Order: sequence, then structure tokens, then C-alpha cells
Amino acid sequence: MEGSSAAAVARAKRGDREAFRELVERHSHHLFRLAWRLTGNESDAEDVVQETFWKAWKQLPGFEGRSEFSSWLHRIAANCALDLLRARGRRPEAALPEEEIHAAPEPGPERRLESAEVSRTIAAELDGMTAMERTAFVLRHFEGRSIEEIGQALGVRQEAAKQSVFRAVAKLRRALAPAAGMSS
Amino acid sequence: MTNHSTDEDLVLHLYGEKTGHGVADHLAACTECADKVEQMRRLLKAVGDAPVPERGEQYGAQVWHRLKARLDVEETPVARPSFGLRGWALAAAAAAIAAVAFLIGRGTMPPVSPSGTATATLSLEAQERILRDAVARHFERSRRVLTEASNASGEEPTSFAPIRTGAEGLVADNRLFRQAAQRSGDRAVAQTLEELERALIEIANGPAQPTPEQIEALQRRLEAQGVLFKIRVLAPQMRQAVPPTPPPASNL
Repeated sequence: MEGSSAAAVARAKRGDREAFRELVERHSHHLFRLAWRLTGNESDAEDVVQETFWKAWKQLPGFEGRSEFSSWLHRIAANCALDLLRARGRRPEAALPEEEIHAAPEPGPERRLESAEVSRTIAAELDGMTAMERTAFVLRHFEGRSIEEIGQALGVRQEAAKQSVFRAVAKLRRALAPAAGMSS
Repeated sequence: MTNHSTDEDLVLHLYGEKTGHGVADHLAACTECADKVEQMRRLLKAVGDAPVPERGEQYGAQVWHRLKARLDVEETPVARPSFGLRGWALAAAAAAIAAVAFLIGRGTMPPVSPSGTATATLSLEAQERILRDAVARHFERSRRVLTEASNASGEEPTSFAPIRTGAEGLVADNRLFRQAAQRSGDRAVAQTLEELERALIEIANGPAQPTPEQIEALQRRLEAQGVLFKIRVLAPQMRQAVPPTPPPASNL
């Protein structure tokens, strides 16, 4: 896949729109899934996808191929989403006190990891995260990016990226553990 | 006494990151930490299983269609500054003071002084703050107009008249802000204002009662230009870049 992407990228860098169309059609679905996980709603995800490809076209002459094209696209998307989430006035980036990281409601005896309920809980927890926490977590958890890559992608130090992932995981654990009858 | 692995190390271990603390060896020997990791693994798997809305097979083609329309509007593939603000040069903000004074005079922004001449006594920082705040307000007003235009129904063409009037009222302000941003060297803001101006002019110069087809065509162009997204992102950034106004000095 990346081999054929490389050929299309090379042509697109020379201004070949047809080559860029190939890249857009090839990467749109994955990019939408990433954008949706980053933003949490379809409208914003669509915006992020559009803006990502727009920026990619503009910045393509400067793409040196040190990373895979898909990784480069994801980095642009992550920053587009980060801008959007911050513009939406998410919670401030500072670490929250432990007591503010709320737990899910007390589990009843019938409570189990039912998919709809878990999905709602996950969505609520992701929405409650700061823009940096959410973006770092999505890149780590869903995209498999290393802490080092996340730091580079988001322009922060590795330690900051790591802490953002930790805080995100801690929030999810606290929220999901009761539903699963586990300790947090 | 057993030194258990920290939660942070366990998370790093789960994600295959190096910890440098012998976590793997510890997990082999410590059932408590091994259980904890297993719980984390199950919980995070549940996160990974959360469904994502599906897009149809033609989604890639649809994305390209919208993108191509936008590329047609702005053909040249040159690097462009990101949305990040570099801060308007203070000297350039001073050059923009005429625009600010003009806008204050016509009530576009909240008056900061009872007379136009008093504006000239403002510090450069205050001028920059006023200008940024005014641009942020302008973006918000423009966003409302463009959102209404984007959501207008072709079945009610008469409802378009107030949108057109709203756009007319914003064009002149936009031009002044664009010129100020260009003078100050903030290319990101200047470019967004330029794109916004084109969109506002198109609405303002369009028919007061457009046909459904005309409304639909306009909405496609607005979507292709992506200007709504840009001002949604930039407006809060402009405000964030404005330092709060210090309270007046107390004589008490």
C-alpha cells in the first residue's frame, strides 16, 4: 500500500492532481475514523478530514518522505483536531486534581460491560478530556503511535505526551472499571 | 516488602513502550501487578471496540469532490502559514490604528474612550488588544452569517434576505481588518480575512431571493472554501492572544 502511495506522492508533489485524488480516496476512510475519534462528532470529523487534505496539498512540496505518507497525514489531522478542540473551549490542559477525575455511577448488580453503555461512557470520558489528553490518547491507543512520535506530532516534549496519555488512561479506568466490576 | 510497578510503567508496558524499570520481569513474579495489567488490558480493549460511524464506499470520492472544488478556487499549491498566530507586530498594530479608530467611531467595537483622539494615546499593546478583540468579534458575526447561509433552505428563498443584509454589513469591516492584518504581517489572519471577504461579497452581491439551485450552489462553494472552519478556529485564538485588560488603578 505504501509503495503505491509513494509513487502517487511523488507525482502529487509535482502538482499532479490526479495523483493526489488517488491519495485522498485511499486515505479518506482511515482519516475519518481518526478524526472522529479525535473530535467525537461526525461534522467536526468531516471538517478535519477536509482541512487535513487541504493542508497536505499545500504542504506536499515540503514533504520529504522521512515518514510514511499516512503517518504524515495523521500528524496533520491530529493538529487540525487539536486546534478545533481547543477552539471549542475544552477543559484547560493543566492536570486535574485526582478528586476531579470523576468515577462512573455506582454499578448495580446487573451492570456489565454492555456495549452501548460502555460506548456512552467512553464517549463521555473522551469528551471530558483536555484536547491534548484526547489527541495523545487517540494517537497512542488507536493509531499505535509511540510516545516519541506523539510528542513530535503535537510539538510537545515526550514527557508531556506521556503524561497526557497517562491522564487519559486513568480517567478511562476510573470510569470503566465499575462497569466491569473491576477495581480501578 | 514488594516494590510494585507504578501505574505509569504498567501503561507504558501495555503499549509496548520501554520503561527501563524491569516491568516484564516484575510481572512474571508479581500476580498483583499482573492482574492489574490484565484488568487494564480488558478495559482498554473495550475502548478499542467502541464503534465508529461508517462512511460509504464513495466517501473518498466525495472528499475529493469537495476538495477539488476548493482547489479550483485557490489553484496555486504554495505553502501557507498554519492557524497558529505569531502575534501581530506592535509597530504594525500602530499602523492599523486608523482602521481601529474608524471602527470605533462607527460603533463596530465597544468604545474605549469618549473621543477618537483619545485612542491615539493608547499604548501599542492596548491597540493590539483592541484590534484582536475586534477581529474576534468580526469572525463571530461572520460565522453566524455564513452558518445561516450554509443552513438556508432552498424552499424558503425569502428567508435569505436577512442573511444577505448581514453579509453586506460585514464586507466593509472585513476589508479594514484585512488591510490591518496585511500591514501587520499576519499572513494567516490576512489570508482568512481575504477568503472570508470573498464569501461575504458573494452573498452580499447575490440575489435577495435566490432560487433553490442558487442557494445550493452557494452552499457548495462555501463548503469547498472551508472558510467557516477557519474562522471557527481562529476566532477563539484571537481572543486567547488578547491579554486581559488590567483593572483601572485604584486611588484608595
